[in-house]
This record gives sequence, structure tokens and C-alpha cells, in this order.
Amino acid sequence: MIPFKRVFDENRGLVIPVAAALVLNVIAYVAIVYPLGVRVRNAGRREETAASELLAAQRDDQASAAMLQGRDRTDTALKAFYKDVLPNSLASANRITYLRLAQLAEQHHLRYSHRSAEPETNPQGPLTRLRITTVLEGDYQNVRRFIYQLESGPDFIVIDSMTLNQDPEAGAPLQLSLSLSTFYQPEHGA
Amino acid sequence: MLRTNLSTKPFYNERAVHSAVALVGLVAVVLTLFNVTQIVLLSRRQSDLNGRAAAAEQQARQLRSHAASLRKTIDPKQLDAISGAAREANVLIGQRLFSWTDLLNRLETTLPDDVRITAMRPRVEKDGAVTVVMGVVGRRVEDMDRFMANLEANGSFADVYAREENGTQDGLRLATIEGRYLPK
Repeated sequence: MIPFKRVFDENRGLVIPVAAALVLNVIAYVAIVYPLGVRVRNAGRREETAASELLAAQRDDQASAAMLQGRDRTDTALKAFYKDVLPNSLASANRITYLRLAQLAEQHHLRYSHRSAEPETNPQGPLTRLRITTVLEGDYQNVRRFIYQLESGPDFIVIDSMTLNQDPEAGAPLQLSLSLSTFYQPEHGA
Repeated sequence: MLRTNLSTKPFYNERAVHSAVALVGLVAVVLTLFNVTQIVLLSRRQSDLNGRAAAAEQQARQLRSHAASLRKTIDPKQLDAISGAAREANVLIGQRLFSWTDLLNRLETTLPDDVRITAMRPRVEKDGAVTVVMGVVGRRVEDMDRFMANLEANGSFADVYAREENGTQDGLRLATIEGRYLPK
């Protein structure tokens, strides 16, 4: 049997420091290392939360910037559309639908039998519509060419609808009723 | 056999005791190294994580504040007006791009001899689809039906139907035909 007391007494100088070192290590682990590990895990969670918040904030910032850019781009494009594509006044709208339509009809041997025009404001939008009703007479092929020229031309004229009529008696010309529109931005104060 | 130990200082294996103490001492050294390493590593990691979290929180605050200041410069009424104007412009451009020539070409290839188109009106729906309403005159219902079948068969139209039909005094059928136009 090992005489523990004697062994301890005889090796006190070695056993006590080693035992103290062991105990101190256990105390250090419980008091310092483990809580530090917990704090690191918490810091990790805080960092993850902060990273996802940062991502959300970046998206928010990008969305706001995109909204601003989109507004500016749309505004610029709209201004260019109003200035470069659409007629800039009632007079200009009238010119492209009155003189040029008459010239186009004449060019395609169509007889201009009626034309009426009326501006129509849109309270919800910035554009005023000039609605034109026109009646032309001629043969079908010329009507087709006229329509092609009208829709492929540079002027912003929209064909809203068309009505074709032909008298049943032989040789009667085809009657084309066109409902057209063009749009313009009224000048300020107009 | 004599079993009693008569020595005043009985023998025990000192080497084994020293070895055991040395082993425990080694464990203590390893534990000390482990604890010290953990303390250093964990402290650095904590400091690093806290620093990154603080930086991210700070940056997030700045970005949110920047986003809020950007949004403040946007007038909602002005934005609505621009959106409305853009929608209107897109609808107008869509109408302007509608090709009547293409529509007439396709109708010519589908129109039976005894059917005549008297009126046409395209309508741009909210989803961008184009519905064409046509006034058609023919002698017989069969001809009208063939016309509608032809429109769908050549892929020009879908969902074609006769919305209304009346007979005239001279025996003709007057129909209003509606269908979803499928431009090329």
C-alpha cells in the first residue's frame, strides 16, 4: 500500500506547486477563458447583425440613389420627348396635321373631303391632345401608301382608329375616315 | 512467509511518484499554454469582432442618414407627376409604334372574298396587349366565322370573338369582332 501522507510530506515541494498550477488553470478557465468565449460568441452575433444591418442600409441607400437617378433620367427623357419629338405648341401641332396631311394626301392622290381638329386637355397629364378627324377618298392601294407614309414619317401622329366605307355602286371611291391625334405641351400660361 | 514490513522507513517507488508528479505538472503546463493561447486568441477575436461590428454599425448609420437625406430631396408629388407623365409618354409611344400597315397586311391575307372590314380601332390594354375591334360586313355567318378562324389560324390574333351582330335590310350581316392582336 502506498503511504500517501509520507509521499506527500516527502514531495511537498513538488506536489503543492503542481496542484496549485492545476487549480489555478481550472480557475482561469472557469473565470476567464469560458466567459471570454461567451463574449466572443456574442461579439460574433453582434457583428453578424451589424453586417446584415449594413447590407440593408446599403440597399436602402442604393434604392434612394436609384430613385433619385431614375427621377432625373426620366425627367430628362421626358423633356427631350416633349422638346424633340412632340410638337411644341398648338400652332406646331396644327401645322403637322393640317399642311403635312394635306400634302401627303395629295401626294397619294387622295381627295381631302373633310377635316376637323379640336384640342383636348388632360387634367391628369402635362400634354394636350389635338384630336383630328379627317375623311379621305381614293383607291385602296393609295390609302395603304398614305397610311404607311403617315406612320413611318417623322411627325408624332397617332392613328386612333380608321373607318373604311365604299358605296356599293361600281367605281365609287373608297372613303377613309381617320381619327388621329398628336400631342403637345402647352406653353406656360397658355 | 514473513509479510510484516519491519523497516522504519518502508520502501515505496519514488520514481513512480516523481513520474506521476511530472505527468500532472506536464498537464498543468499544457493547460496553462491552452489557457494563455485561448485568452490571447479570444481577446484578439473579440476585439476584432467588436471593431468590425462598431464599424458596420457606424457605416449603416451613415448610409441610413444619407438615404434619408436623399429621400428628403424627392418631392413625392413631383415624383408622382413624373411617373404619371412617363406612363402617359410610354402609352403614346406604344400607340405611335403600332403598325397599321402590318395589321392591314395580315388582315388582307385572312379576309374571305365575301367579307369586308368597315372600321378598325386598336386599344392598348394596361398590360401592353393590343386589342383590335373591327366592324365587319359579310353576306353569311359562315363567312364571318371563317374570317375569325383565319385570324387565329395564321397567328395574327388570339381570343377572337363576335361581340355584336346585326342584320341589315339588304340581307347583310354587320358584326363587331374583337380579338387580341399579336404583332410580329
